[in-house]
Amino acid sequence: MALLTALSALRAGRIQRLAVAALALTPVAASSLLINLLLPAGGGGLATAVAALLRLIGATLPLTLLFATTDAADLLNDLEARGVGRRAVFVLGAALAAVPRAQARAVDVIEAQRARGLDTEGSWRRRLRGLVPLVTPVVIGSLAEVEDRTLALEVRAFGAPGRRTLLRRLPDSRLQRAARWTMGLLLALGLAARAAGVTGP
Amino acid sequence: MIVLDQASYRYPGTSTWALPTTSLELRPGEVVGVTGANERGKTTLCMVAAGLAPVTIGGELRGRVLVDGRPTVELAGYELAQRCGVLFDNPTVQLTGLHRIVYEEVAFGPCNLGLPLAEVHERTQAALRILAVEHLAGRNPGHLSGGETQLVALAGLLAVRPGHLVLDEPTSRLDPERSLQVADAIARVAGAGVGVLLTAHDEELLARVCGQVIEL
Amino acid sequence: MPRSATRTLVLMPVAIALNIALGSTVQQALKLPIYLDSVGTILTGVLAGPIAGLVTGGLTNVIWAYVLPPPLQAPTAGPFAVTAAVIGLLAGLWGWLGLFRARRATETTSLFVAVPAAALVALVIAYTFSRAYTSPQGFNSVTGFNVNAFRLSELAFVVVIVVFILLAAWLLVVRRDAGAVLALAAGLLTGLVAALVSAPISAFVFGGVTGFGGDVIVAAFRAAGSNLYQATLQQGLLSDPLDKMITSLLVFFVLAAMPRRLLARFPNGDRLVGGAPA
Repeated sequence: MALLTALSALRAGRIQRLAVAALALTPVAASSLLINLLLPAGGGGLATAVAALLRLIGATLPLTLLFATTDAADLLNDLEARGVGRRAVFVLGAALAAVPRAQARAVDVIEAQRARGLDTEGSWRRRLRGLVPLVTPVVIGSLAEVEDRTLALEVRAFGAPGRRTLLRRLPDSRLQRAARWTMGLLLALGLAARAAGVTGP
Repeated sequence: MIVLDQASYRYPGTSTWALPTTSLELRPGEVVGVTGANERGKTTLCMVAAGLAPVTIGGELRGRVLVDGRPTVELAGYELAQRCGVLFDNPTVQLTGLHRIVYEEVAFGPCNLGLPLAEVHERTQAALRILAVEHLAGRNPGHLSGGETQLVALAGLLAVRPGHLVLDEPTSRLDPERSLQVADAIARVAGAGVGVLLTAHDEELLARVCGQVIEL
Repeated sequence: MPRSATRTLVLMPVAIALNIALGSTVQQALKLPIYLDSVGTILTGVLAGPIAGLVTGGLTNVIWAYVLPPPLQAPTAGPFAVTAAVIGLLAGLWGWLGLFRARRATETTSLFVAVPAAALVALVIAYTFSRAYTSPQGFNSVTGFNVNAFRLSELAFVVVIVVFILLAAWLLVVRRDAGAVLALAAGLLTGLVAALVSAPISAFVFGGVTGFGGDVIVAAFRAAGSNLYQATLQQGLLSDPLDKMITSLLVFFVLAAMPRRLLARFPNGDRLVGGAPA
């Protein structure tokens, strides 16, 4: 599995991104080891820590891998070509586009409030008091954006029924199709093996 | 043709009539200018004439607003979009923020209508051509200057091929050369039979392109 | 009443981005022990209804865990999408009930509604806590086997209720804002439900370790004698109500600060701006 991961990442030239994804797991891993090993009554020992970590990797890796190797715009385009509705595709695509905008807005507000003397280092009561002046402008800015974009989409006939025209179609080679079928087959085999009790729990 | 017959409008959640009772007619190929001090309801008039108010915004409309003989309140947003395009006074929010190149941004409207691919391309190219912004087609819409953004937003509207256009202060952010280009484009669009309603402070622009000027 | 679904469709992605920006950047800037990652979810539920809230909450966690590039990525957020979705659903219910409507400060009728409602919520919470914390371990502690568990549980329970009463008193006496008390009570209830939904996920998917400060609290509860599931539930019953009370109040204040003519355009607008237009 790990080998497969490394290979596919290498092919897409995104191995760096995967490495950083692995780094993102380190705080959880550290926390897990610390708590399970150092707190005698609270922990379940090394085996529990490793098991928890492996479960986490299992839950996170497949989708992380998908997005580390696939351009989100390509994925959405292909989903739409395969019949996913324009509204679902819009919500996903717009959310991905909105995250950096919201981050930038948050950073701007933090900088501005710090310049006006907001205390982000003091006691927790002072920091709690900083919550309203930080959150309110970010939220209100976002809601104003909602209004503008709603009107902008309406005048571009966004609400029209039926299917949208797609400007691009992703090429789908015979090799890719064969690979998909093979993977589906492997998955089915794995599930069958597990159901039959051949592999572990 | 767009007809406002004794129309007045107030936004939802407010009690003041943002658009006092107004009547006007916009015939095919005609350019009607609207002037008036700020806060006199120019932007509201744009929203009401295009049907966005009350169809998308809500609120209360008194009197009648007809587009091509049908009351705007009976039409859905996408049906209104094909009858009347609106250019808002802040063009940066008019772009969808979803597309990586200008060409895709301009093609967004025709794609939404589900037109055949060949027609989508034809409309997109025609819209870019009439505004003389074909050279922007491959650029990132987020990295355009104010004037370029304005023209790309207008191209996005033209690609939907509405029978009418409502332009709210279309040249307020443009340098004189770009303003002339827009004035030219307005004249050409009107020449093709599109009725244009235009709000502006710029007397020169109004005098240059408008057959009739109304003061709010 | 606006008939356009487009506004809700535009609100959802913006709210998702808001969740992520506030839950990462602002949370890190203030270093407060709350998640702050459901402002957008609750906002969407209140403005656009339960379904929109549910989708916003669920998608936030999925995107956060799997789609975003690593510096922002929160690998453990994925399975908690269920919790986030439930939070959005509840917020839709609160919005529909008008709990987030800005009421005039000294309206006596709303005082009559707010105070009993708040007291009722506090009672429900107290009951749930007593069940959660005084199960076998709690009784053990009374009989002297495990004194630590009893003290710790009592402490968590007291903290939540005291914060609720203090905030409610502050809203009523200092701000004279009975409407905000309803939003606060809604937040407390939301936090309670969120804790109940999160506990099994936290215990069985992650073994109580999610990489946040809450891990230490879970470990402390376990050290005090609770089993894994109880410990994660007890941790959630401490953290979630506090977080959701603060988040609900933030959303309430933001909505109160928004121009009515913008709020009224959302599907739930009529229930938010209420009565006669100003």
